[in-house]
Amino acid sequence: MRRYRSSILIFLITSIVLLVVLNVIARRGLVEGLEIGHMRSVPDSSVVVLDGPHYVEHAMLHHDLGGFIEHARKADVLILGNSRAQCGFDAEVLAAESAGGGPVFYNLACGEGENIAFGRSLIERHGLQPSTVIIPIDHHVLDDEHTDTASEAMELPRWTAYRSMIEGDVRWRTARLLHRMVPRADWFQHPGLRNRWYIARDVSTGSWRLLERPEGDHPAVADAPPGDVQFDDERLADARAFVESMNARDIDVVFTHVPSAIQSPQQAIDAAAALDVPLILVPGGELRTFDRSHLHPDSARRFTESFVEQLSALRDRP
Amino acid sequence: MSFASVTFLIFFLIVLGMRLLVGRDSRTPLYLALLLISSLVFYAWHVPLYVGILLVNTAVDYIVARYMVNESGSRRRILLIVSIVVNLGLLCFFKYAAFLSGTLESIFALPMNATFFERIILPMGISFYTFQSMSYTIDVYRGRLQPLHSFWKFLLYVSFFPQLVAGPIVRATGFLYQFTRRRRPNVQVWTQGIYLIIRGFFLKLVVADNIAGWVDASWSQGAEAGYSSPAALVLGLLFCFQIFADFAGYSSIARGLALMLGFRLPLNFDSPYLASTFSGFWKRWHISLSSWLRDYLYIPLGGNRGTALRTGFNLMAVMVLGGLWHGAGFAFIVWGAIHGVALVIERVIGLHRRDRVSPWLVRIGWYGVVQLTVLVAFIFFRSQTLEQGAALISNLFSFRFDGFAGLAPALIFLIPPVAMHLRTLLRETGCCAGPGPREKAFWSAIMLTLTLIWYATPATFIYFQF
Repeated sequence: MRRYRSSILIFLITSIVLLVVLNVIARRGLVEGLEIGHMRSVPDSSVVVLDGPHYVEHAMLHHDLGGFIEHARKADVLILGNSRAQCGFDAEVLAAESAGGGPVFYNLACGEGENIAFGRSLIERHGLQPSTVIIPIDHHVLDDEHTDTASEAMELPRWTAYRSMIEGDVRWRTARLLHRMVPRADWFQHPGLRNRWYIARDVSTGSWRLLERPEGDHPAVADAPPGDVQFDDERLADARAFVESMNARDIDVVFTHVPSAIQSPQQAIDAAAALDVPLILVPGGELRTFDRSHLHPDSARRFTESFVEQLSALRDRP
Repeated sequence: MSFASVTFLIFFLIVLGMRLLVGRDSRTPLYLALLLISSLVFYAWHVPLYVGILLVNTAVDYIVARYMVNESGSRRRILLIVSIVVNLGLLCFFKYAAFLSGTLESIFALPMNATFFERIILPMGISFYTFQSMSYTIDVYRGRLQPLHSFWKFLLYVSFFPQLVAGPIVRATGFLYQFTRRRRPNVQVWTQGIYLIIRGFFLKLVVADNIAGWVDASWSQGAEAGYSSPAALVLGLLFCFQIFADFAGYSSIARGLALMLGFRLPLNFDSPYLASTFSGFWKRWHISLSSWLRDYLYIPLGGNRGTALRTGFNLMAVMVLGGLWHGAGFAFIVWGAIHGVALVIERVIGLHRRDRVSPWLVRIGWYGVVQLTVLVAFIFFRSQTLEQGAALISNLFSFRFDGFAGLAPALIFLIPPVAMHLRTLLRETGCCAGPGPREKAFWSAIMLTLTLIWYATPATFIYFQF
């Protein structure tokens, strides 16, 4: 026992000395990439849905976990789409509009290039009955075929989805607690090595609350290139089928476009004209993105204010 | 449930608490019952329904073994065949049905409904517990083991959670006796257990998962035309050490957990990149699988007792099946076949015998050949398709020297596993003794601190998919 007492002492002393030294280094900022207490807390009534490679929001929405769908049922206006729709619509502006007598909004957009197929499946599966569905059109949003992420999530057993949700949330909260006391090294990072997106999703609004995101500042150029996806016949047919299915459920469809530097609003303009669907466009000239694709929070606020104003006018129209 | 999760930490602390409360003598029936329940909860955490498959597997083997002991001749053989068919049938259905139906569909255009099979989630650890369960019935058949009289003990042997998902593949002969052996918690065993757990987590979370970032981001690029030779070599090396750190890390954690719960599990990795022969490599890499294949496949096939041709066939068969055990894919078959061919060539040359003294230059040269072949084989192992693996290997030997494609910083993560190998080399060559408790305590503190500050986002253990 005496032999092991000295081993235990060596272990404890070495650990404590190392942790104290690293703490001092991190707190004084002596070594770049060694941080302490840097992780944000999970906002109230939110669930961590993306934590590095662990991404669970599709599964949570599909299996009605976390209480999102319950809130979505109460919404007058549902926002579908991809990550640009999530970063583009400011939850506080939408909430203020609702509080002022406007419609209740709920954001059902998901990351990973999500499209109308998943949105429609959520509406049908959970019997959602909004009066209006907003489709921010860009990239593959009008594809009517499930993305790989959506397909995998839909095939996931409910228990696995539930377990992933709980584990992701606990993982973030535990890591945050740990790194208030122990530094975190983040050396050798380069693009593609690690996913820098860490996202919590607000249960009551459906909106993302970014816990960490890539840094950057780029204009959301108004005359952005058309992008890699054009509005062709196949997409037109998909979009028409979607609009008709929504109309059959007494749901109006409104198209819009969240400005970015990588996709022009042309697809949205073409789709709205071809299908005779109302279109709300907000000029992107002075808006900024943090990665050329997703709006900065300030720009998102301005975009949403303008959008809400136009939507209000549209809904007031006889 | 992954070891590298907060959920598991909570789970294990509860189990450890139970051991201190009711399992101070590890033979206590209540403790064994709690261990069994914990193991089933651990397994159900993945897909609860698949506990049923585990139960079917074990129930069949338990019943077969009980009946087999009273039978002889052909009836005894039939019972063994029943056990093997059930075990391998379940394994094939879950693991190979998608591959087989997809292959038949694409080659013969047969309507095999491959997409249905692709949707089936592979029960975690099925390859491991199937082999473990089979070893029990085969040993009873051979008369080397008396069948257990308690189904619950047998179920605990198969489902014991530290080794359930990714081994080591524990033989009944090496585990069942521990049910009757008194083992109280003591400082010596617990410090050894904690050392193994810290070492395992360090290898997994710091070494393997950090390397995984580079490997995952660069593997497809590595197969593109124009990729430089040094970069391809570094990429291959990184994966060799990633899979070592990942799997050896898991095995180390499993052994440490088992020790703390009062059980011993066999060593599964013994510095494999020190091996100077192919046969030596398989005595150091995934030892529990290679020894299983030797005892339950290679020797029954005739081993090396027949002609040279027959021995060569046996080696090839064992290695190809060993490759196939890892997964349903041509890349795994090629990986196994490369090792099979290498073992045959080594045997023909005569370099497999350690007692045959060769000039040191030949030995060093053969060491290089062995490790380069291991690296090439691992490139196939990691690749999505045979074409991807072949393209990366052709880049490796293209002799284009255009730098390291940004992979050089990742080499820092090779330092710990290389140092561990060198430490073993020093011990094996008699230059120094193995690490004592104080040295282990010191390195444990370093590894624990590095793990807490430098872990990468945990990825699933590679061998969970097998």
